[in-house]
Amino acid sequence: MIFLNRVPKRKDILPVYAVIVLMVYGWTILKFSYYVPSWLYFLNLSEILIVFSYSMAVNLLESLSILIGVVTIAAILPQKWFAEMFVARGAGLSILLLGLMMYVANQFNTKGYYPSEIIHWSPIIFVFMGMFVYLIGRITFLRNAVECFADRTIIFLYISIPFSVLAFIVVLMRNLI
Amino acid sequence: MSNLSRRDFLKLAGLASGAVAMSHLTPRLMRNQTSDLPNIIIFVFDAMSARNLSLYGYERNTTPNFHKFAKRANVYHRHRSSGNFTTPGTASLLTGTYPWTHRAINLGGLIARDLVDHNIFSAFGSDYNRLAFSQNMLPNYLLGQFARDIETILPFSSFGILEQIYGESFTNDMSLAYRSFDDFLFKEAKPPSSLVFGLIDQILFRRQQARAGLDGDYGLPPRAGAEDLFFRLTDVFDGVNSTIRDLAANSPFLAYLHLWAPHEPYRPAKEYQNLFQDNYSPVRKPDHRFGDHIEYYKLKTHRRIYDQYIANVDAEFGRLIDDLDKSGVLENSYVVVTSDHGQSLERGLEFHFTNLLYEPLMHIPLLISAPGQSKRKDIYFPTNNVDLLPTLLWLVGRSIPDWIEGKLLPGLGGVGDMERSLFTLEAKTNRAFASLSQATVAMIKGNYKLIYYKGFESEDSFEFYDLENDYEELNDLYPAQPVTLKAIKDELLEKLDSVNAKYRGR
Repeated sequence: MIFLNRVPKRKDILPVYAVIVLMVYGWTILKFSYYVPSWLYFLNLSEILIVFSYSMAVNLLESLSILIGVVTIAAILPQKWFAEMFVARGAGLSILLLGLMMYVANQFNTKGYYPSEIIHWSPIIFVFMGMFVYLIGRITFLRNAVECFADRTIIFLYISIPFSVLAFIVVLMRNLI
Repeated sequence: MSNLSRRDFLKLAGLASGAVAMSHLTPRLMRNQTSDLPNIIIFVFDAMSARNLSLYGYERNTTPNFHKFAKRANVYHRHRSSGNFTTPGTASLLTGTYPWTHRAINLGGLIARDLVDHNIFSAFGSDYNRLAFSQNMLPNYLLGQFARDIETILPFSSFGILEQIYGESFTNDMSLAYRSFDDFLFKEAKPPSSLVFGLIDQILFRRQQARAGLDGDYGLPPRAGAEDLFFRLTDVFDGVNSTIRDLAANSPFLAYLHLWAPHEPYRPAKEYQNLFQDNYSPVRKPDHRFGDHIEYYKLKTHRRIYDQYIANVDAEFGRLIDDLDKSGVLENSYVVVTSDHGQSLERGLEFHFTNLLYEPLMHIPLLISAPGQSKRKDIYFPTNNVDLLPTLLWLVGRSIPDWIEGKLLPGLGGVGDMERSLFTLEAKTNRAFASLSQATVAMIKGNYKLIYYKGFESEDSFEFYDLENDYEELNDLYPAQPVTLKAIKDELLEKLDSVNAKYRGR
């Protein structure tokens, strides 16, 4: 119960989740748009939508797993370090983490690539990320900017969540019936 | 209904549950009643060109075990695939129709949805115990379409040593699950489309790969293209062996076994890596304008490794056949050995991702051994892989559906016909359900072969070869306009026009 009391409030979690959703779903939708022209050569619309459903279902799990990670950090760390300014620091951390993932993912253009340098330097990268997240809370301009951005991304939740739920139902129906 | 007594209700419930149980048991009981039907075992060795097999006269002794097997088989010397890569070639084999009919013409394409019931598994029916296995992802898309006609589809990664394949977990929706997960979200050698799980998947797989010593290229265990699957040929053939033995307990069975080797990347086992260090020099052919302009010496080196890989496959195949023979499985089985398409190692072009249709790309092996057959029979009439399905149906006494475009193979119910027209189509850049506006079509008639390149350049072009006198296709007769050309060209254009009629305007 003590741990649950340390979990940020729902109104603070939503903007952070919205940022995560924007980046995770946005990445997949962008890639999807690259594939669609070739799929249109031989898949029909319903098949393309089913592939989209699988993708949305996976995106939902991915975004939730990142959110759980961020919320857990907020619950574990001293409140002054993270939870007190959860929207700014949580959104900032998500942007940095997912941005780093996008950078690494883009390196996987060749067979056999392994991000050994990034893994080697990861402790330092994470320390810098932590420092930057801390600074977001300390510098008013940065904090306002991140909070403002996170707040504006909430609109995406109104699209992504219903779509993901629908996608999950599609995936379940195709595999259970 | 109000008069239904408790006793009546119990009787009805008993009958209903009995009926449900019987509906489940009927195919099995029928199978037992028809157990005198022969089994069918189809081996497809991916990208195995007949032009590299000593069985068909190749200079290097690549296939001593195929020779041995041929002593008890019908050997088709002029057998061709109707496509130059896996999707159309396999779809034609499985449906007995040409690519312009089944429309699986694109890389990873699918059979026209209204034709999905027209396949080898449905044609054999449920009194056959039907199993399919493919180590190549592309046939798995097709097998997923036929799933309701197949009792068992072995997972793509069966018999592998290192794998990370997700689509196969979704057994009810395999075709689209493979496409969603393994071809999109977690696709190898590209930035993953799933940012979090996809990235973790790629990092973990490459770490496992490095730990298992599977980083690199030559000398490693084979890999199924860019898919996350490594395997050893020995394991695969052992797995296939035990699968067939298990099937034999529930005869009659139909087994479609599509193995990756000798498809590139060529990875022969260690003991084959020193083979063919000889002075063999393949005929030099001019680079084709549609080729990749790869140097002759590079192609020559790669040809040697391809040949080593074929020799490796041949040895494993020999071991498998000997074992199945000893176990008695072959006593009541037709065994088919073939490929889905060939492989190019000439004219500056390697592999088969091309719009060219020269013989190394379309000439494939076909051997069919009948139960109890003890003599070799060589057949030199031209045949196509659309002919396999009707022939197999005829051999087991089934009627041949009218949707099949192939004919009975000579020597197995059919009569040889030198004047028959046979086609191979390459149209991977054309929309599947549209008129063929960008395609290469090869037509074989008698000893002649006409190739038509349509829509690739500002002007369409043709090549014409006399295969009887020009085995290597070096002398293009088209510019000389021989008398034999006109009728063949008219027929090809007419054929293309007729297959396009359905899609005109699309």
